[in-house]
Amino acid sequence: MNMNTTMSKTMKCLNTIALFCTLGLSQAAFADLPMISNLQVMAHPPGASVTAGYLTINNISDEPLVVTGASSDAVTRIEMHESAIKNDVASMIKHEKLSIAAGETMELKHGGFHLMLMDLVSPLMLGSTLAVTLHTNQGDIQLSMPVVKPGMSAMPSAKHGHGEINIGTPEPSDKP
Amino acid sequence: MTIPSDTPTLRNRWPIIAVIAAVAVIAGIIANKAVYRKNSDATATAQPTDAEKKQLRTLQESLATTAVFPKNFITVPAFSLIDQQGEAVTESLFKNQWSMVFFGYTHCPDICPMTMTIMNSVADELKASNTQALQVVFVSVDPKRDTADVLGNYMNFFNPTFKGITGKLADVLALTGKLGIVASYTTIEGTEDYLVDHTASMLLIDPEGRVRGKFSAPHKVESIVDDYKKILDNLG
Repeated sequence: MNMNTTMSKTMKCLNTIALFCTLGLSQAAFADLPMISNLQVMAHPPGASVTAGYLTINNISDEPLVVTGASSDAVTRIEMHESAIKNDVASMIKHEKLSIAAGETMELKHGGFHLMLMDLVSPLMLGSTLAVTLHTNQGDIQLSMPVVKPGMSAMPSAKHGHGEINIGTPEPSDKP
Repeated sequence: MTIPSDTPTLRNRWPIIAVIAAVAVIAGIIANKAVYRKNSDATATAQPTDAEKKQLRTLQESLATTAVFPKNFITVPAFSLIDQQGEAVTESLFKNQWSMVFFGYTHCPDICPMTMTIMNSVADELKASNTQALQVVFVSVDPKRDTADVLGNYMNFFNPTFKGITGKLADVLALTGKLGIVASYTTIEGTEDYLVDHTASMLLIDPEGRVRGKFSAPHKVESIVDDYKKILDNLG
């Protein structure tokens, strides 16, 4: 009985410490970094040299977030484009940066803003993931973007990254 | 040499502009009449009757995102292009079946793949509901990069039953121009690459090769299927 109580108390205490540690860590590491969800790269026909990447960026910080570009070892060049249909003509507008105000969310999705992946170094296989670095004024963010079939709806965004493939792993940048 | 600014004198030029405009309108009417006389010989482009006009108006009101046209609006002109197998394709492609034509290019990362995916779902829906099949045709407005092989890969990826059309740029543009489809090319700064701006709508062609509908973007599976069914019920 006594033993059990002590055990239980110890466990509770350990749990609390563990919880604090987790919170502490996540607070320290992820406090202001944007939440990234709905990550997708479109699988492409064999031989294609371009494809699109989509994601949702939630700027949870108190500062404006400016995305200045993206890069990946598997793609020669990544640009930020916006699809637009004006007077029945589909076109793409290149953006040098995307600004997201504090607390705001920006969706890069079909028919609007997207990452344009150009000159693929090697084919992006369906089911694989593409490592992409998103460059922002708050530091670089490492993304792990699953390659999916076009037309597959975006996966629901999860609150925290417990290994879900649609969640980016934000890492603080070493850069100033 | 500087081009003189004509802004201050624009007002003085209005009479000239008006005369030019009037001449253009008259020329247009004459040209239209000539085309009409030429077309009216063919049964395929016969004038719609009053009953047909009324039916078209009622149909138009029931459609979500599609504009319908009378049968004498535009007929697909003669053309000579190739498909994804490299086989010759002519205007006879559009005979004896309904077709949906989309104009795009395979280097288009966002709108074209999504449209192809949507049309794939449309084809599935039509099959599931036992509706008359729709031939899906993708005309590349970037034939320089979209060779038959490239189009073959593209069609196989989305739906091998879809027809991919390419050919000489001048021949493609002759066809698109006559169908009122636009395409323009913009170089991506600092690269050899270019982007193509193109008409986002799709054209519905009837089994006699006549343009009967313009399906506006943004495309949605449901509205395409619904509008196509209504058009079939009324014009099929």
